[in-house]
Amino acid sequence: MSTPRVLGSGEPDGAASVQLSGLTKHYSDVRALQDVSLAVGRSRFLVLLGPSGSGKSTLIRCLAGIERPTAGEIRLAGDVVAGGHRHLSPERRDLAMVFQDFALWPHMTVGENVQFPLRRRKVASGAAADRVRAMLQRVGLTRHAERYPHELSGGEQQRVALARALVANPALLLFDEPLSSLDANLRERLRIEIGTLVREQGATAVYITHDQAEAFALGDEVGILESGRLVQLGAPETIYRTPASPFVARFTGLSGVLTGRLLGPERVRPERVRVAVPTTDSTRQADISATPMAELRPGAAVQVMLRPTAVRLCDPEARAATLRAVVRDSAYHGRGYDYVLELGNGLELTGVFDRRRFTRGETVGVHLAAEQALVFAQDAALNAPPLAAEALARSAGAGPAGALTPLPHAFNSHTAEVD
Amino acid sequence: MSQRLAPESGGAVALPVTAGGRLRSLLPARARPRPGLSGIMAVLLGLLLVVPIGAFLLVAVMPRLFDQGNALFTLGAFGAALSGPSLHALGDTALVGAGSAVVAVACALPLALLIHRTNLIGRRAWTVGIWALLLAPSYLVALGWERLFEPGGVLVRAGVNAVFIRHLLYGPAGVIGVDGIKGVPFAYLAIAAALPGLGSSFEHAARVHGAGRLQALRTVVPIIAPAIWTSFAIVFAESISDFGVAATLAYDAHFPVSTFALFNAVDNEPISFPLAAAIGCTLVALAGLALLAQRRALRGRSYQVLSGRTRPYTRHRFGRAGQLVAGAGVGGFFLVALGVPVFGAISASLIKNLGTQLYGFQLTLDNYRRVLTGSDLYTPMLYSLRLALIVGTIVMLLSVPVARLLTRRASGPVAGMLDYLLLGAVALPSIVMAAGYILVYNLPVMHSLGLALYGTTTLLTIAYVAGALPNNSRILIGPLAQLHETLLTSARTHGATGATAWRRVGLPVLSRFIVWVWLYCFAGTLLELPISELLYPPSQFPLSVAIERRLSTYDFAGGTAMEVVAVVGALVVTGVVLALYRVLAPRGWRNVGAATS
Repeated sequence: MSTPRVLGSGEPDGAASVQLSGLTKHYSDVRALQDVSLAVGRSRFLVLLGPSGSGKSTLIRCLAGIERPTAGEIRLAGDVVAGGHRHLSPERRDLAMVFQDFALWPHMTVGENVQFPLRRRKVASGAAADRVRAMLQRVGLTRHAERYPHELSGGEQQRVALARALVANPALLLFDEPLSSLDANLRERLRIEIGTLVREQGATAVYITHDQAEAFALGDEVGILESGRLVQLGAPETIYRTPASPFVARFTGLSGVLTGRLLGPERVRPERVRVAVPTTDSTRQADISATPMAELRPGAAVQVMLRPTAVRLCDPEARAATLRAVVRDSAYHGRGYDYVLELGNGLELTGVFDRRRFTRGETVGVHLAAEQALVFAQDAALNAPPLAAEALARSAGAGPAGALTPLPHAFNSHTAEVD
Repeated sequence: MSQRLAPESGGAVALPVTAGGRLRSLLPARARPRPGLSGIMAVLLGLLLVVPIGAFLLVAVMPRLFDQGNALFTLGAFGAALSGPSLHALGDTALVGAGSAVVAVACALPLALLIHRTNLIGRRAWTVGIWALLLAPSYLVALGWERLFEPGGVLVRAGVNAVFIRHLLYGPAGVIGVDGIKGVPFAYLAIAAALPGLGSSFEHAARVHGAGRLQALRTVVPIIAPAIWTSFAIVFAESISDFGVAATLAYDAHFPVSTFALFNAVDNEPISFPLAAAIGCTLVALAGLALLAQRRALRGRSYQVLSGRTRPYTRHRFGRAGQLVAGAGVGGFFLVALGVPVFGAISASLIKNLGTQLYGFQLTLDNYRRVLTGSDLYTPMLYSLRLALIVGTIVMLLSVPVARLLTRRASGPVAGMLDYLLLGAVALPSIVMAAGYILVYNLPVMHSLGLALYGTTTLLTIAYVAGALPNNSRILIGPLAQLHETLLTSARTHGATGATAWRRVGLPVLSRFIVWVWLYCFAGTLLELPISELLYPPSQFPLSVAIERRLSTYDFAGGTAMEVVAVVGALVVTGVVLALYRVLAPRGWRNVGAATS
């Protein structure tokens, strides 16, 4: 069982609002959660990010008490709520939850929906009415108290769900992909509202989503789940800059992936490595500078994962141009354009932003920012990149100490150092 | 004048839109609605339903119009219907309707929740049990109970004298219980249809916001209030219009109800159609009151739950103890609902001299030998079998166009009227319709028109069809509504004629339901009682009438043996038809609408 890490302001484990130790959940043969351990400090906002089937819904349902874990322990404010033979029912965990489909009871008015948690906590009716009114005012729905959920728009319904979750001032707030069924504009607006209201309330929040932008915008900490395992946990900036695995890098946003071989050991800067990648010309390759994410030996087959911010467009003949590419598609976004670039050999870069307008079919220069070009070992399933014979010969003669010398490259060997 | 845009080179061109004409011009000529179909169906249903029923109800106030009295307009029949024994029967009927609705919903709600919302073992078998109960005629269920508990019945012969249960059975509680059990499938189907809208998150939301298990259930069950109230209304209407229990258990228990009072008024001297019609009107009014109560209960509330956001529910997973308790509950229900009457019927059919003064407990197969060799017993079976095959086929053929008319948009006021007519006909007691057929087809004018059909197999067949068509058409409305128009239009735009489009697209999608309509209609006709009782031709007894006559002459063993053989026969035919469908229908046909897990 792994040791839980406390996120937040350096509090000891005992002060954690939420603490999971070795949490495991199996459904027959399906391992939905495997040995997940983490701890969240009081008033912190944790976002769990993962694709479908990664176990994030199972985790939040275990936290809520809707599911009973197969193994492991859950502590809320220091008390064991699940573990061993103990399983505290949801209504005794002092929490609230916002559901993906909102789960507003259709036969109750907005006011009745919001008042529900107060009635269950036996708050006197006068005080409850005041709190409901105040809560509806906070979410801007005072005039809708007597309406039924179906008479509200999607965004208003979500606000009612949020008001219902916040009104009783629970110790823990759970969010089960609450924005996924809303359109993009509304999602953006409500995301800001959720963040503001939750932080004003001072509640601890656990939020699950499959949307990386949502996770990074909301979370004090972000946890990445893959096949039921927590594969990385940290601040959004840490996860973006130093993803723990190619999976995490892919899931948190990439423009494209280049395959190549690690050169070295000569480095422009100690935290960078040089990688030879193939170009459209099969006899030549480019030499790029990138940031290693793992210990790699010179000559190793690697993949260079490019964040969208790593790719900048320039004149194909410019000195800064590391590679050449052809513009395949462009989408205008007001502030500029998102481009899809073709590098040859079936490689594409997507989501490349530039303010300038390039036409489809135009050849452009591609400049790669080294700190956002992340180097991982090549997946075993993939073949080594088809590099030029000269490079392979040199690589083979370099010896184990890595006596490789930088190769003559297609355009030039300069990549930017933006620190 | 519409604006014409000049085409740019290589650009898109906006075409002028002429009012109303664009869509029509895009449709192939034969895809347009045929005005004749509505008219034909309206005339057909008018002759089958409106004329006989309308005339029958009219005779209550205008008896002279039909040679049933001297008064051109009178409320005397209503005076008689709302006084004395008729009023007593009406009170009993209302009590039975309300009581059986409560019993049915009280059983159906937990059954539906357990079968649809939990991992209860044997869910498929329990669902088959529900359908078996739906198809079992009420008089067979009542007779099963009677044979078991009556004085001199199976239990008494076996030395068990269950006096307490007998007293309960032969009284209001027994009639309500049997009608309530018969109402369970109606309530179950209505509630089960509403459950997919009750996503698990409603219950989870209640739990995480502080509600306990029971409080959460109390919070979310009102979401399906429309289905619950509809169940009350349906079971109430079914129970007050039931004739099977009225003619057997209620009659034997000296507990008169309106349907039997109506039957008496047209079957026993002095025959009084106006009184029967007035009783019929009170029954219709009672059903109307139930519908009004349903509307009132739901007024001002919202129950809209199905939307694009609705997430599927997850089944509650029982542990071993939960499985045991829930299984015992559901098993107990089916033991009472199906086990007791089936055991009663089978055991009674195996006892020698049941119903006679010759006591003793001797098992024999003699009764079956009599049924299968004596022509007075198997002739009615063959007669009913023949009629059931004919009626099933006719109704199957008619219900598709009728349902199509009801689901097709913009079919005009005729379709709207048809809808109301069919809805009303579903709620109308069969006994009222049968009485209307007697009245109308026994009029001198019918003889002079050459339509002297009263007392013929033809009229019995027509009445069976008229009785079964409204229900079966409505069964097909759901599947037809899901048959999106574009499926047919797509076939037409790819070159199929209207008939081919229906054969290649409509029929495969609906085939499963059409087969079920045939089976439902076949089984219903084979053992149908109220229409048969009033309209059977002299000396040609349908099965149900033959069973009743056998029982009325105290040949309980022979009568129950007939029941058993008839039910087994219906099950065999059902099995054969389903097996044929499975073998002969292409796999794609069978897959449409089938469950995925």
